[in-house]
Amino acid sequence: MKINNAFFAFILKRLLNSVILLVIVMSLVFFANRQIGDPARMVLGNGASEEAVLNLRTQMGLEDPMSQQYGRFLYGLATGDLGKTFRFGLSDSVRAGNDANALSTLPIAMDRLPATLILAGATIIFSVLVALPLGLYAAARPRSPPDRAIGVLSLAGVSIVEYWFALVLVLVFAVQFAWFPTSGYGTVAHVVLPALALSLRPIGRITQIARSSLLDEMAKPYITAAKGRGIPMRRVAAVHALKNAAIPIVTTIGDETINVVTGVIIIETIFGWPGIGALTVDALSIRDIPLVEATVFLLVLMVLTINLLVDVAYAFLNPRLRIG
Amino acid sequence: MAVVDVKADMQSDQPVLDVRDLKVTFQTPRGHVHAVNGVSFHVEKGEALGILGESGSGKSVSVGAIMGLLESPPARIEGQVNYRDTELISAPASVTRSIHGDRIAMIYQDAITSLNPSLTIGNQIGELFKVHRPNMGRREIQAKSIELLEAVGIQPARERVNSYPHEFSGGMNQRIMIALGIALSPEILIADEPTTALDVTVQAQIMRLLGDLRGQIDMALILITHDIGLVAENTDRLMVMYGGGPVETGPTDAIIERPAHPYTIGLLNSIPHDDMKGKKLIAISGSPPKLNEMPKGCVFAPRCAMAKDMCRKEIPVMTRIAPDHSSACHFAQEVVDG
Repeated sequence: MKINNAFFAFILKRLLNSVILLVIVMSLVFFANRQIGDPARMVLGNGASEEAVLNLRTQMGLEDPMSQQYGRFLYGLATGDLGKTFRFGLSDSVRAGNDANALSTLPIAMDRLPATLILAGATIIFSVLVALPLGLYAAARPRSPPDRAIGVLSLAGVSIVEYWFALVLVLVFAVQFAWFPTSGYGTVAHVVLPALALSLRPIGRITQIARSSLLDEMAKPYITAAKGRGIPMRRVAAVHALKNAAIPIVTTIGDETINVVTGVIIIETIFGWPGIGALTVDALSIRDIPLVEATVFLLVLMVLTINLLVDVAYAFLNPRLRIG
Repeated sequence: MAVVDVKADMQSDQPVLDVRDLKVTFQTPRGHVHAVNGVSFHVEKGEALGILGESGSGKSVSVGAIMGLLESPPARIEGQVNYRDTELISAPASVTRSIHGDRIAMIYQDAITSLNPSLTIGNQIGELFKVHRPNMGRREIQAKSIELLEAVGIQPARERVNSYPHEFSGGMNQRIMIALGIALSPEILIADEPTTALDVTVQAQIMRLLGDLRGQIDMALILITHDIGLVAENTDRLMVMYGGGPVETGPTDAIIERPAHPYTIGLLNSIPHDDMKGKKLIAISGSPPKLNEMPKGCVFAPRCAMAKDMCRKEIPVMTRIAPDHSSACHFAQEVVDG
């Protein structure tokens, strides 16, 4: 495997693209957040006087000219300071901290990051471990009964809505059988149901893509040529076909990881999982604009990081990408 | 020198490859497709046999059967393919695997798609040695791979061995295919339209390279093509195929000088010559038969200018018109006599 300057130029370009994308997405979030209602009124309640609301809006910086707010936002983005939360006593971490720093939204959001990473990581690892063998097994015997069964199951996987499936899982395995806790965080048992709920779709999709891309590769002329050279079938499939089939499979794993990262918003809420997703919903429901910006910032950062990792994986898998 | 000649004579008693009454049928939802209907031919040690035919004539399916490349089902293969004392159709995969790629090798029409895009050419050549010569060490394999690339004119071989197929031109990729084909010094190299995808000047280089290499390792060549000019220049014997079977076999020179089948005449007439300036090129009218709706009688009859009632009723058999020259035409003798 040779890694040359072109490879680093490629990664650098992708990195730059990511930064530009981050700024664009965060700007959209900034402007959208200013259309979803008045956070000052949310804090003070409906009975508050106009004067009190105006006062708080000024404190929150919402009365400044839009250009000034946006400039401050961009500067904050560059320096890693996304502002202070609008609501005090929002979460344990805020209540615990006495210093003013505890009110900064980015650290609050960062506190929730490990929980989300654990859930997303468990989901994807589990999905890949299940889906890859299923897909490759099906591809080895196309149109056979096991292949058809796997096809139906994977189609079901991509078709079933995950929050419905999450509720079914809770009803069956938490309420009925009481094998797992209904919600919460802290032990391995807590991860099982949310990860299962989230993994349904990735398992279905990765299985489908693994099967079809391996079958596609097995039909190509270079496979025929390898067979004609007396290379054993097992080696033809495992060395020749899989190396090329890996490119669409890795793409799909990347896509599905992104879906999981965005999917946590609902699943974390259902399972009371203290991650970024649940925090985003909390922050949105009380119009805590800086906190929403911080959580979305971390979500976008995760998505971009996944994309970058997929790009790096491409470069390793596809030699044609490494040149020029 | 005399001793060498005697030895060569003794070996040529038995052909290296002897194909007998090969039939390939594909089972499709729309019925059985008879792709190859009883093809017999043999290849002597070191000789060059041309198999000439249009697409759909069964030439590529025939070699697919020889190389064990047809999926069965849907393909049903009957007949015999004898490589020396081994019958390849009935032999288990473990036996044919040790012959394919080693004793009988094949190069393909489209080199770039026939090479794995994700493996370096060194990996792909090295794999052949790993699989067929498990006792060879890594260093030896590396050295042999570089030597092979040099032999087919890839320069500088020491660096290029780590390149990927997309880093080469079409002609260079065909050279790499040839390196893969000759890596284990096979007795037979099957070349399926090896130059069709290439520029004319590159075609000539590739055929010259094949000729040189054959001289060096005493390798028989089966050249499959639709290009009558290519077989004329590069083969000793020729089998003309049409509609899944042979229509004429014989020494290449004899067939070109005195064709004994109307189809061969049609092919020869469709090549432009210098003395035809200003005249219209004569093409064979009509198109080849569909393999699932073969005509009764002679397969070529619907397109044959000389066809008579008999041709539409009775299937012609191969008849000898000279000791080594046969034609599957009811009127072969008349055709030769003009």
